[in-house]
Amino acid sequence: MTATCHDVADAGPVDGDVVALVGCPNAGKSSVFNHLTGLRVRTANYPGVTVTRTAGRLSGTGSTVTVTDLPGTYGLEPVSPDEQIVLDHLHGRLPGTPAPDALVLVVDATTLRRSLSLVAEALALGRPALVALTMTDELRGRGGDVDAAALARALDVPVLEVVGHRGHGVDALRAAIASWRSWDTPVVPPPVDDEAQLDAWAASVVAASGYRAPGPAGVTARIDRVLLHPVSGVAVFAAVMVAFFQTIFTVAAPVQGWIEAGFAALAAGAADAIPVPWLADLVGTAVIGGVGGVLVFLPQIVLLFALLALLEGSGYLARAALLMDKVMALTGLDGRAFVSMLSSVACAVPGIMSTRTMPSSRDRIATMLAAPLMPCSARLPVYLLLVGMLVPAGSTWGPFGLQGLVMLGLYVLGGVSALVAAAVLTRTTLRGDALPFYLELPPYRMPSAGTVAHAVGSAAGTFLRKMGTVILGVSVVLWALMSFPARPAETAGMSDAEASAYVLDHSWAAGIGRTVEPVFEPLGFDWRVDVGLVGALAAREVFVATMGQLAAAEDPADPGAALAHLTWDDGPRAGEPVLTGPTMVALLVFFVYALQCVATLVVMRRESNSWRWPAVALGYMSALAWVMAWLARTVAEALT
Amino acid sequence: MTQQATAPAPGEVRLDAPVAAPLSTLRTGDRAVITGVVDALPAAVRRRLHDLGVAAGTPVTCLRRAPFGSPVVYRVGETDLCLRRALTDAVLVTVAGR
Repeated sequence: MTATCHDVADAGPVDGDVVALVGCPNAGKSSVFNHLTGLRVRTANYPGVTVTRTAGRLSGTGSTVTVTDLPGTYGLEPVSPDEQIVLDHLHGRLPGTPAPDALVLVVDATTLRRSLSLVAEALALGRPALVALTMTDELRGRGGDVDAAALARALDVPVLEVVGHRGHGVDALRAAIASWRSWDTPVVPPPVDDEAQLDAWAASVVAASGYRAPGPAGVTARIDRVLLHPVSGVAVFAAVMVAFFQTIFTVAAPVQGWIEAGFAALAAGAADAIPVPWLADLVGTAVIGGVGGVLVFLPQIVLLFALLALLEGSGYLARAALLMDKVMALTGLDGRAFVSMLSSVACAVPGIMSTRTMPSSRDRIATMLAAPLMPCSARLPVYLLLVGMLVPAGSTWGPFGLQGLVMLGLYVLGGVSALVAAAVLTRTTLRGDALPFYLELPPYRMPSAGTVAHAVGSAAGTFLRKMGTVILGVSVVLWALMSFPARPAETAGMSDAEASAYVLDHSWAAGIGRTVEPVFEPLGFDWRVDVGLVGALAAREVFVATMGQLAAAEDPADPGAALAHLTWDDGPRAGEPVLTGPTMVALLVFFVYALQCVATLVVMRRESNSWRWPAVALGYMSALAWVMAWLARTVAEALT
Repeated sequence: MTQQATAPAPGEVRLDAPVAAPLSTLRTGDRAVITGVVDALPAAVRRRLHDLGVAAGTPVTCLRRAPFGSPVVYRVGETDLCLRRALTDAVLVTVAGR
């Protein structure tokens, strides 16, 4: 029961044996793992680092063996702290995590000669081992061949052919794993210390196993001639990225709308059914609304991870990383970071989650810290509101609508800032420990539906279990800050809009807003805007609703007219309108840079396995937001 | 196995033992055989290159360049690898032809 009820990383001694899957990236290891474990898997971080491993119960045999999928690696000699952790795990040097009892080496038959290096290092660990030889259909299709039985004799361990995407050989593998105690450990471990001897050993194994190397993958080469061509390749890449991105907006957005509407209806129904007003509001707005606020991320997460799994499984993601590498190298990252950055334009939450595919810890963290600067879709309602108030509708600059140009400018500002932030981060606090860049281009393969389903299920499950509860908790707290103390006596005679404005004006959040007013006063924000910023911590789009509430707008979704009449209560600008031109410019720039979405912080904490990095992100982005907003305001004032 | 790089000067023809040049000097379509890596490479990186298939005696072909010139795709044995200049300057090969 342990593997499915507890986080593997937290588990002490595991009852039931642990068999670890070791193999190169692109060898079909995750496909094998998915076949072996079915749906009940848990992904966990190694303690203290961002490296993850997935574990699940061996399905179908009723056995108690837990299968652990270790990160794919080309060799066990560690080049980075990430890989050191995996090696420590294999040697049993990690406190609280015992070494696996046995190893399944997932070996791609089409790259056998190279893969024997990893096989040798794994066999040298002295653990019972079995080789699962994958892609043998592809090997034979390309004119190669191998004799699994001869290979088993040469290696002195059992060898099973497994064709992952068709499920051939999986049952035999399952049965073999259930009886892992019958596996042998090689009598003479391979000579891993001397490269020349290792090469000689590998050559003798290859010869003894009747291995014939496959010819080049013809179809892949022909496709790459188009997809990696300077002109057609970049064009196809741009089209794929646009489609990728558009799908997230056009397919996810309506589903998100249904979720929001559904939960709003549910909340209204609950509120009607509960007689006590504050309880009705708690259950309705805070709890049901909060749950809806968490679930609203799911369509984007599901869609993004499904698309990523398709791109990765087919092999195209490596091509995309290749095309973008030169550009990303300017930021100190490599091409793989591009997709995570791009995903963050839809929403930083799945974008940050997608960094787990990057092999380097330092690159993962740099990407995570820079990704929230990408202009995410939650900023859009705020931009629309403020640009609508700031720029007269229909005004143009040459042939272009001015409002559209300003929106584009905000997006470009966010995107460029994210890349600059990544460049600064990789050259300062996250310098060093840079892996030399290498990327394997696997042959194009049909992605398996099972692998896609697993990637989606894992991401969505992790999000709901680990992050959803925290996000919900925080939104309930924020709701409480904005709704209490309730003032039934004073608001008895007011209309709904006035009553909610009054409660918000005198709430704890308002107290916070008034307290921090001096900090934001140079930017031109009065305490009510600050309350709006507090509300935006739950989700940026809440800013619009909060401002609407504060302005006692009749329609909280379109508070533009009401907001234009907001004036300063007191202080040097008493009586003047709050949202002047320079103030709105400052507010727009503030939203470009500020890290406001609590969900982002929670996801960052989860993916980086510590509170340190979200704290760094919050700190640097808040400071950046204040400074840039002040600069923008100063420039705007000088120009008007 | 490591060696010092001694690429021939332009126009120079050497008639003695085959010359080891950095992998980065291969043009698209050139075939070569890997002879080793430069001494200066850290041991861990050398090991990783070996695990990727960059071992003495392995045939290597320069397949194509990325649109902006970097990285370059090489077929090393049966694997297609993208490598940047920093690594390909450190891998030594003997050119075998086109």
